[in-house]
Amino acid sequence: MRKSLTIALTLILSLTALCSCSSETETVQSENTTAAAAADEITVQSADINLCDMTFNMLYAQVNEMKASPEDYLNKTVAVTGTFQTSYYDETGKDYYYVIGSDVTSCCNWNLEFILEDGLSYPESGTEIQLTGVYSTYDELGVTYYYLDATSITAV
Amino acid sequence: MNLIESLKYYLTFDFVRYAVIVGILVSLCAALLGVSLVLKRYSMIGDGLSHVAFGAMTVAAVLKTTEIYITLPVTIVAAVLLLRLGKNAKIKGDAAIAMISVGALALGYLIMNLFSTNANISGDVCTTLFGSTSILTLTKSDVYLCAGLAAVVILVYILFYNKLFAVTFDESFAAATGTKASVYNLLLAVVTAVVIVLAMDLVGALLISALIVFPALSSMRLFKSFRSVIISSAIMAVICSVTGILASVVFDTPVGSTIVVADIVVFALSCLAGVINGGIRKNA
Repeated sequence: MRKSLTIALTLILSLTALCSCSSETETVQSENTTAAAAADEITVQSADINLCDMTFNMLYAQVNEMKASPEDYLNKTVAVTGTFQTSYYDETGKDYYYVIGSDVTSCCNWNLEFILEDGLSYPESGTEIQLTGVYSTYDELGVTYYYLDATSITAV
Repeated sequence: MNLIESLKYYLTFDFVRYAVIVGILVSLCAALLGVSLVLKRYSMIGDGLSHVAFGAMTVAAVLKTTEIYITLPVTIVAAVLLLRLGKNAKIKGDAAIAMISVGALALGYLIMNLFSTNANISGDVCTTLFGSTSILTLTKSDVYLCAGLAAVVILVYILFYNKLFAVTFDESFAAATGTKASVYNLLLAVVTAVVIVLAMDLVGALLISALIVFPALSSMRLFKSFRSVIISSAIMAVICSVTGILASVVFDTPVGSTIVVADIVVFALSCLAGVINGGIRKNA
């Protein structure tokens, strides 16, 4: 019984160490997080979060993470590739613009709302696009939304 | 970017580390249980209970409550019914599992379609059944919950190892010598249900049986004693789980099926090693 308890305690301590290690490991993502720095031209390579070079699984998971913990990604520069879609919402009478994609099994979709800066125009729905911008927030009808404040759009 | 650099890069993401941690914990628990369940001829119970959990998840989605508050108790009740009915049941083991399994699956899918809360029903079903990317969308609190439940499962297994051993190999003899076999069967049922609910995020409802069955069968090809089989089963399960998760991230394959393919490869290698080892012993 004492031996079993010792083994059990050792395992529990190991499990605790395993979980705490996850929060102590540093990320190697860029530290360019200020809005002022984001005002400079954002390229795919210089973006804090480069979603263009990720596998489908990682891309789906990263976008999900950006929506689940948006405060960790606010004001970070983002580059993303996907399909352009628009959606009209009756309650506000406005069009909303999204870049969308799916995971590797094509059964789960991700989407990221974006707004182009002045001077840029939206393409046809269904066009494959590459965007760069800053992850930002706005409030509408009492709800906070997170979107990509896009500074560039390219058809791919 | 070569393979090592890709792995290093992907491991910098929190959600990948969370997936690896949960993968290790869940596969470890499933492997521990798998040996007892395989020896008691309940290999397919993972399948049955996961389908029950799927049905319970759809009810939770319709009621808009946290899933685990409904799936865990419902799955525990189903596990108790299946494992405790045992020899005295009018409907025996495999038939009972089949009945509950397909019934829950059909009811769950029907509820999901009639009371859908999401436009992408097929996506939800696909993710739940095959666990495509759900393991990569875990939060820190999910990891803590999983760690807590896994710690309980492992603790129970270590503390009651001797009794579970006795109940696994000869329940009648264990009962005759004063061991409360029904209590330990109940414990096994509850722990199985907990592991099934945890494992659904890892490999999905349809592939859970692989996590339970393959490590145990692979170990039995190589080792003969109960303790050796348990330990080697746990090691193999963890290796396959981590390999499967990292391979799916790097090579962009569905997570659940990649883990199961890793299990299949290890099983094939174990069979080969067992045959070679058996041949060497015969000739010695």
